[in-house]
Amino acid sequence: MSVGFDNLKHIVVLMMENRSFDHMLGGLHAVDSRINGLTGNETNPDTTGEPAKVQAQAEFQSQLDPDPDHHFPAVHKQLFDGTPGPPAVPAMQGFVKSYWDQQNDVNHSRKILYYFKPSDLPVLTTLALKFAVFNGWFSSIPGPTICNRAFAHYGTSFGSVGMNPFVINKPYRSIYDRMLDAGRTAKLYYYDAASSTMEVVNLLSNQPRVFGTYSQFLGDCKSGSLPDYSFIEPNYSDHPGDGGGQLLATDQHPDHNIRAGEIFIASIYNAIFGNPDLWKSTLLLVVYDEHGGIYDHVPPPACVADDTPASAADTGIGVPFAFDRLGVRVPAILISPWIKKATVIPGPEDAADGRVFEHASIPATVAKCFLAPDDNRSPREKNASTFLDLLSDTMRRNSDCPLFHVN
Amino acid sequence: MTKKAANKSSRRAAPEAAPADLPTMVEVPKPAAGSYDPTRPLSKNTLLQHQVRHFQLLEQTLPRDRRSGHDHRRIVTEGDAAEYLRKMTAMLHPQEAAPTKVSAAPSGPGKDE
Repeated sequence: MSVGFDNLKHIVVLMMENRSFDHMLGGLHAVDSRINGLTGNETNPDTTGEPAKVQAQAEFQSQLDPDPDHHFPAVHKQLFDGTPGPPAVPAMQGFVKSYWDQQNDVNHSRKILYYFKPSDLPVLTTLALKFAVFNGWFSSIPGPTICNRAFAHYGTSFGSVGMNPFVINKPYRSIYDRMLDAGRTAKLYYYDAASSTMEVVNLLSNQPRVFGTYSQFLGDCKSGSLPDYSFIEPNYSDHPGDGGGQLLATDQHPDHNIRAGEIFIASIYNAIFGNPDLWKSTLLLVVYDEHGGIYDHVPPPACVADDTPASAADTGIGVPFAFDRLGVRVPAILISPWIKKATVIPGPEDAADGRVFEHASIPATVAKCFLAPDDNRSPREKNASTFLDLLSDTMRRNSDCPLFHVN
Repeated sequence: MTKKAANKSSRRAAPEAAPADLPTMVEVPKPAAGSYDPTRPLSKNTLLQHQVRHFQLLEQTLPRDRRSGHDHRRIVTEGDAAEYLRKMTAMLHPQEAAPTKVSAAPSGPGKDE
């Protein structure tokens, strides 16, 4: 391993909500052709049969209303509509038709192909271009939030493809559990009590000691008391602050304001960067849980099956699901001064050197960094790619790194 | 020594100031005024709907004296959901103000390989 790995003491993961890779970072292909984004020629047929084209016209708020459907049956349509024969490689041609299903509005349905100009997202764009961007990070299952986030916490969703509180039916413990049992430290920071955590049924009700708040995260960064592993959740709702004031949702889930999420991402980065000891010893991953029903052009690849399938009744598409195909691609950026500038980690587009990552890569990487080998993990976690090798032997100067200022 | 030589010698002797190692500042715009809307219908956000539902299901498993007493029929906006979640989270996680424990463990086995 590298000098950067030798200096590594903290891994921090920030998981945002419901935006696809192409929607947020697709425009970067024009800036750096190694980034597998959009050429501008990608299309999806609308319900009249006309090809609707991707356009750099995404708006910060009020455009994707209604919230695009991202549950398993809808995502199945988004991936496989128009795929000849049994679903093999997804055609990625069903996004516009899927969005039409919600409002029966042809013009509005085409907006599911809209993406942001790089200049619209100064934080995400800067981080992607200055550090490392993954061409091949996929959500763990072609479905909604709860089961995808479960892969980040447990390396599996225990057979769930939906949003119902899942039953832990295998002895796979959360990464927080494993860290604490090994004498390490780990914390799941939710934004505040009013936003709370998505990990209610299992972790918050059973292990409240695992949790902290965003303001505590900022304090921990300042005081140098960040745990070995931190997972951060954004603010999931617009609500009044404890001391008054207005707190905007920062998760970027439609229809929350994108710019509020940019500010939140910046605050996490700034908090780590602002403590030099922390900056040189921390690896920060900014990733999204799933695509939110929004277009991406890269077919999710097949993967090692997990060991608890979802029944045909649970999938809602008439056939069971073996968790042997990943979900739609999401933005994922890895940040550390030990990462070479403008690193692009190739994905499936590179037959020779492409690498595939998913949310099970998170506990897999944390376990590889901090824990002894353990076979009592899900098949998906045991087979997931890890990302510690992206740390180099050279630490970049501050002048080669950004600092964000909210104006 | 000529004046020119003296000046040249003086310039050579003066230490050059090290360039400041400062990061590149990136400006981040704020959301437009009017973005804040806690009255946004909960029906527009399936994620929040499910989160509220999860807390409600959990609450049903709690002893009556630990339940929120919240009228669930009144949870119709994001702000309403936030208020209910605040109450439930504070009950489940009263130690949210507790400081984080710093690991005393040395580098883990993974890092020794």
